[in-house]
Amino acid sequence: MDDLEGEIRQLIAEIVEMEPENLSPEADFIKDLGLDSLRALEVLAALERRYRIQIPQERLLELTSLRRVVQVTREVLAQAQGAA
Amino acid sequence: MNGGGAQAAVTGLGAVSPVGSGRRALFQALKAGTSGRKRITLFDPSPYPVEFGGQAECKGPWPAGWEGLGRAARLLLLASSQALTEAGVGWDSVSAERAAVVVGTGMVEPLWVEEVVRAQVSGREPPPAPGAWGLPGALPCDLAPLVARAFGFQGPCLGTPVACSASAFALAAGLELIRQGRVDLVLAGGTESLNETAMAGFARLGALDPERCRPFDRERQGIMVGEGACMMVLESFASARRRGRRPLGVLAGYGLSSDSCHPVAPDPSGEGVALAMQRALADAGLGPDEVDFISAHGTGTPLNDRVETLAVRRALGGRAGAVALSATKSMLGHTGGAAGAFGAAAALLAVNAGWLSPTINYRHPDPDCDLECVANRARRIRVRAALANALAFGGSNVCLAFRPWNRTHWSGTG
Amino acid sequence: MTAERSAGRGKEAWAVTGLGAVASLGTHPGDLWARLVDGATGVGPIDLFDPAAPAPNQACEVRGFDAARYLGPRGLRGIDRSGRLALVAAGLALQQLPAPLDPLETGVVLGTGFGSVHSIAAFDRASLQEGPSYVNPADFPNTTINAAASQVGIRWGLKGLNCTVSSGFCAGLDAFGCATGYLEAGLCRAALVGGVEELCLESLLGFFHSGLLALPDGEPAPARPFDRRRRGAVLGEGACMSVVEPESRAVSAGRPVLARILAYGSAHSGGCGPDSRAMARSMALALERAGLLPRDVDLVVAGASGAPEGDREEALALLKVFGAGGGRARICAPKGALGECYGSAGALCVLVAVLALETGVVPPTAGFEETDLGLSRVSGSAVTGELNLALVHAFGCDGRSSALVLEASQTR
Repeated sequence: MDDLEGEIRQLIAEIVEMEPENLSPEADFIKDLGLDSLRALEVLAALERRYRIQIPQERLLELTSLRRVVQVTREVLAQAQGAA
Repeated sequence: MNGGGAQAAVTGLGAVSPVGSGRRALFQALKAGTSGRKRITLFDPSPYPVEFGGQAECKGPWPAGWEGLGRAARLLLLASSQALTEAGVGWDSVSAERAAVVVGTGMVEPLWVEEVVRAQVSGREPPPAPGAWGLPGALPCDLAPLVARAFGFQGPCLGTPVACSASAFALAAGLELIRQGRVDLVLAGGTESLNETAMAGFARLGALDPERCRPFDRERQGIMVGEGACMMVLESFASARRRGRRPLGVLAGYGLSSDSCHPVAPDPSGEGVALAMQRALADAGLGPDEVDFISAHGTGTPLNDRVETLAVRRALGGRAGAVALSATKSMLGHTGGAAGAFGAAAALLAVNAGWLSPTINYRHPDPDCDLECVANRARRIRVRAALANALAFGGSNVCLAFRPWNRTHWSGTG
Repeated sequence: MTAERSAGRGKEAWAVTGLGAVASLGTHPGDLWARLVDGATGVGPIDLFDPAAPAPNQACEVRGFDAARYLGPRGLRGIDRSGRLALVAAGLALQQLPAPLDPLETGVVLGTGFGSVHSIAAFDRASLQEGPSYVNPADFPNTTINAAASQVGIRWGLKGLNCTVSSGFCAGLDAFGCATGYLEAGLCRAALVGGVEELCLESLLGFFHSGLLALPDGEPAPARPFDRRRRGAVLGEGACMSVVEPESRAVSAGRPVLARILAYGSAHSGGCGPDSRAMARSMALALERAGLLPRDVDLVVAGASGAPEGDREEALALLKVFGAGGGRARICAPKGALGECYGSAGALCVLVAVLALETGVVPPTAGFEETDLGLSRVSGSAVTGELNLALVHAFGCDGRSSALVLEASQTR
């Protein structure tokens, strides 16, 4: 299951144009990485596409770091599996 | 006072819109606060979070040669024909070589591209590809020559595909051609058809209001997609006077600026939009105190309307709170490349008859948008000047300044 | 100001003070020019995509194009090929300036034909294949035609104004017409002006179906503008940007004037197809606004691409304006070497004119040996001479025609 963090790290690194290994799990997308709203939305869309999930738009604000993104994705995935 | 140079008489307006076809129908609907919102039938809207939009009536029978054209092209030709009829343009009274066409549009005829892609995805033979010379009106550069050929224009023939400010750019470019003494008359404006590219894009950006489009309302959540074409005949005063046309109003000046800060979002300070407005005022030789109406870009997204409010305050200073403002997009939806010209049409209605068209669906005042909103019902006042704003993806801003026409214009310059 | 406007150009000319270009012949104006003068062409097999037969597998492609080499690895994500070509050309033009421009007062005016029809198709494909909720929102801005111009403005914070002009084959030249109007109106004090067009399957098919392209028998072969054996155009791609500003301002800021822009003219036939009368009219309008006579012109940079009908009409227009044999002006058609670069072609032709005026060299018209069109001053090899005035012409199969008159810098 910890593939998930690796995968998401890869995916986000691509969007923020960094090497995956340089991406700290705690780095703040806006403050530390300079992510703007469109890029944040791109992260959300990439997760949805990759895992075929729907992350409610209001949770966009929670996607502030790699660690938070992994958490939110796990939750949404678990909910989706529970529902299925 | 005459800032930047000659001004142009607007002697005709054509419009095919979600609230009616023809200048009179458009003006009537704008005065009545008619909503163009309906369930989209042009394509299946069910995969999208919102199934409504401002769909225009665009029905035949078509003149020979129009059948194979794209929808944006047909909307454009209809609006052009209306505008030329209203202006009474004939090549006996105007030199075709000194008559230009400028057309703004946001995208490549999207329905055509979609059809090609759809065919590819499903393994079918794609429809024939367009060529600019066969003129199916599929490319942004095709549209103006299509109009030129249909009506016999022989002057400059330009496209200004500057996204959502495209048709405002076209009107500005038209005024510039007249000022430079290159032409006597310009048919300028824009067109856009409803399409799934924009639907998917705005949906993914979370920019579609799930309920209704309500610019400047505290509860606003985004745009409504729309379509249509709006074309104006701009003319030098000398040409309009010679032909004995009574102008609907005067395009007195324009301002351009660029935020150049983000591909989709405006500069949050409103500085860029304000600069375009200030430039338009200076160009038209107007002071802020003479402005009585602003036809806002007012898309209904939380950010746009807040930024535009800041821009109006910045540009008009102490006058800002006293100027009435409204957004046509509450009625028509966001007509993309045609939106700037529709906004200009509302400004023209204001200087023509003193009618200020409303922002409909307006219920909750927003402290962040604390300007004098013409809420839900049109108003009639004395209008000395009206501004029309257009903002685009990429931050390219246009502001157009209109003034009422009066007889003294005939004795002035231009 | 008003009187000056209606009388045509004022006393002041517009200075070209910077040039940047990316095309099949080179990703730097200097390389491009050297190879053009050498008689090289950019024609070769298409690497970028697999052209669907029967469309021709040849083009003047910018091979191995890597924008990151010029602009660094970051900040290019989500920018499509058109945007990247435009960014590199703009960067090269700005880089060349010995004294930087004020970004707040600099505008961008970019011509394009298709915009990125490829980006629009890719976006639609994602939406239709996977569902609209799976598109990448960051790709959406690329579906509007002004995306490339916006990217140029954003990258360098150029806030004067930002305009995209689309007029097909004339777009790269019309951008200069619009930009000089905006400069004259005082909306910006300098402008990056030019054109961009990317090679993609969609545009290749569009040109192929319109019957405009040459179909090679075997090996890729250059088009032959104005030549008796011309059989069609070869599609090209590229971007070209010039820095344009009032001459007095360039001089006071210490930016050397590479050439001067004197006047612009534009016309449409009112019909369809390339039209020699509209072409003659746009050339005459530009010369008239410059206060010049046809015999003053030393060099014509022509829009001929090797397409039989278009080349014939342009030759007719040149004969009409310049007299028997095409008069005394040298004629050069760069599309033989660079391909039909559509919305960027006019801007590339301006670059050719500027460098020819600067160096006194008329580059060869690639593929040209002999003509059936009555033009006596076209040459398949480079020619040197005193060049003071150039007329750049662009025309389209849509009835459009535009012309720009340039003069050699006085400080050459």
